[in-house]
Amino acid sequence: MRMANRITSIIIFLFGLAVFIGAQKLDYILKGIPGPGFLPRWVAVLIMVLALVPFFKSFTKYEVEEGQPFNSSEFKNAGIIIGSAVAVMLLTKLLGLSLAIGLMAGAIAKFTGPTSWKKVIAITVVTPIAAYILFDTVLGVPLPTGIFGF
Amino acid sequence: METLQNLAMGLSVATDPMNLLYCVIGVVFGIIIGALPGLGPSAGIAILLPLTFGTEPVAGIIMLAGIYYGAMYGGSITSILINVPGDASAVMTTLDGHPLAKQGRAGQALGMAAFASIIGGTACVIMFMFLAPALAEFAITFGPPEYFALMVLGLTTIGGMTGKFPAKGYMSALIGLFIATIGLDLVQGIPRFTFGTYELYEGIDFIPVAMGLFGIAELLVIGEEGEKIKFSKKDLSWRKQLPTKEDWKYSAPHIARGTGIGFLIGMLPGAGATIASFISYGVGKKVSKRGDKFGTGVIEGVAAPESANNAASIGAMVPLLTLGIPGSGSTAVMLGALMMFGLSPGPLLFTNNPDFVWGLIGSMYIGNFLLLVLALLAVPLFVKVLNVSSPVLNAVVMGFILIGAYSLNNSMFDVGLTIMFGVLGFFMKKLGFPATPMVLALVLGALLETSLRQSLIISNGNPAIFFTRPISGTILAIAILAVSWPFIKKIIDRMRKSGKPSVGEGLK
Repeated sequence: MRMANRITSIIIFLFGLAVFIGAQKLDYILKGIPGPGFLPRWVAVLIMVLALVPFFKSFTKYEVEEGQPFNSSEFKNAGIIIGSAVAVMLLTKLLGLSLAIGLMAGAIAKFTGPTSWKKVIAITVVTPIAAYILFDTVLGVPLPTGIFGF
Repeated sequence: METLQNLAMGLSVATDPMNLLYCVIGVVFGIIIGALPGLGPSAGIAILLPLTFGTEPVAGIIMLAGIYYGAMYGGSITSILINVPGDASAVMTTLDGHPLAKQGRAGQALGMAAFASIIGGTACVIMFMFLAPALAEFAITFGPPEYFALMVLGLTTIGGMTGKFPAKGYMSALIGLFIATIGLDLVQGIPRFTFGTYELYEGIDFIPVAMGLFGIAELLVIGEEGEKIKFSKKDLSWRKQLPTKEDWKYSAPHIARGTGIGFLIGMLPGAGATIASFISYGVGKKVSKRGDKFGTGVIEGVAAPESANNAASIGAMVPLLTLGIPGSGSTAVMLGALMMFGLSPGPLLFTNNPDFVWGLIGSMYIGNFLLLVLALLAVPLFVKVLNVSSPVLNAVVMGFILIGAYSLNNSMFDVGLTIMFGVLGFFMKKLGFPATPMVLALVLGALLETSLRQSLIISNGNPAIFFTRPISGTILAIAILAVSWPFIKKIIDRMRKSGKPSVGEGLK
C-alpha cells in the first residue's frame, strides 16, 4: 500500500497541476466576481496540496499494517468485465447494442467463473431480449441497430 | 391539523396504482440488492435509475426511496443466513443474527430484523413529517451565502467521514468538483475542459459517474463465488419468522433507542446508516442487562442495528428534501435524480411541489408496510435469487448498466464514460478513496459555484459575506471545525498525555 499510495499521490498531483495549467487559460476574476477559472484554479491548488498528504505519510509509520491492495485474480475478473464492456463500444455499430450486450453478458458469465455452456447460451439470448423489451418497448428508448436490423 | 391533511393528500398520491407499482418494484429490488453481497443501496439506486426515465417525478422518487429502505432490510438476509453482510450497514447484524441462525432461530432473527426495520422506518416517517416542514420553513430565509456554506459543510463532512483517511475523501470531493466544472461556463458561456469534444459541452451528467463508481466498480471487486444459502422452506415460513413474546420483551427498548439514534445520525451528512447501526449496537450492548451475551446470538443484537439503519435511511431524507443537501451516497444519487426530474430540492419544494413531497411521505408508510409483508412472505423467494452465481449476476447487471447509461441521452459517449468511471471506481476502491464525496461534489458542484458567484455579486466581491452573516458564518465555522477536528483532537490527546502524571507520580 505504501508504494501504491506514493504512485497515486504523484498521479493526483500531476492531475492537479494539469487542471491548474488548464485553468490559467480561463478568466479568474471577471468584473469583480469570480470568473470561469476561479473555482477550477482553487480546486487544482487544493488537489495538489492534499495529494502530498498520503505521499509524505507513506514515509512515516502510517499504514504499516495495510496489505497489498491488488491481487491478480481480481485483476483478471475486472479485466474480463471491462474488456467485454469496451468490446460492446466497438461492436455496437456493427451488431447493434442489444446483440453486443448479449455477447458481453455471455463472455462475462463464461470467463469470470465456472458457468455451464447451457447457462451461458441462455444468458446470451435472454439478456438482450429482456433489455430490448424493457428499454425499447416499455421505456421507449430506441436502441442502436446493427447489420441484422435489431 | 395541516400536517394530517397533507398526509391524507400524500396517501392518496401514493396509493395511485402506478405509484404503488413503482413502490413495490423499488422495495423488491431494494431487498434483493441489499441482500446481494457487494451491491449496496447507492449502487442499486444508480443501476436502477434508468427505469425512472420518462416516469412522473413522484413515481420515480417513490421507487428510488423504496430501493433505499428495501436495501437496508435486505442486507440482513445474508448477514443472518450465511454471515455475509449484504452491505456495510448490515455488518452489525451478523454478530448476533448468524449465531441465532446456527441455533436454529434463523426465522425469528429474520422476522425481528424485518419488524425492527419497519418499526424504525415508520416511526421516523412520523418524525420526518413534523420536523421536515419546520426545517424547510426555517431554510426559506437562506440566501446564496448560506447555501454555499451548507454545500461546503456537506462536502467537508462527507469527505472527512466516509473513508479511512480524510485526505483521500477530500481529494475525491475535489476531483468531483473539478468534473462539475467541465462544460459551458454558466456566466461567460465559454467551454471549460471540453478539449473540443462537443459531448462535453453540456457537462458530465452524474448518472454515468454514479453508475460507474457505484455500479461497475462494485461488480469488479465482487468475488468469484459466494457461499450458497442452504435452508429448508419450513424454517423460513412466515409463522417461523414471528418473534416470541420474550423476543419482544428484550428487543422493544433496543428498537426504540435504535430508532432515535438512527434518525439523528441519518440526518448528519456523512454519518449514515452504517455508523448508526454501529452506535446503536454499541449503546445497546452497554445498557442491556444481557450486554455480556451480545455477540453470542441474542435477538436484541439484531433489533438494535436493524432499527437504526432503516431509521437512518429516513433521517437522511430530511436534509435532502429540506435543504437540498444529501447526507450519503444513496441520497446524493437521489438528489441528482430529483434534478433530472426538473425539481429543485430545498425549502421551496414543500411549497412549490407539496403533492410530490407528501406523496413521497405517504409512500414511505405504504412502502414500510409492503416491506413487512414481503419480508415475511417472500424470504424463501429472495433466498433463491441470492443463490444465482456471481458470474451470471455480473453479466446481467453489467448489461443493464450499459443499456441504462445509453438510455440517458441515447448516446454511446455516456456508455464510454460509465465504463471509464467504473475503472476509476475500481482503483479508488482498492486504494481507499471513497466514491461518495466525488458523486456528491459532482451533483452539488454547479449549485456551489453559482451560489459562490451570487454571494460575491451581492457583496461586491467581498468574501467576508460568508462569515459576517450569522447562519452562513456558523455553518462555515462548523465546516472548518469538521476539517480541523482530527488535528485538534491530536493536540488535545498530546496535551493530555504530557499533562497527565504517571501512576508512580500520582502515588507519590
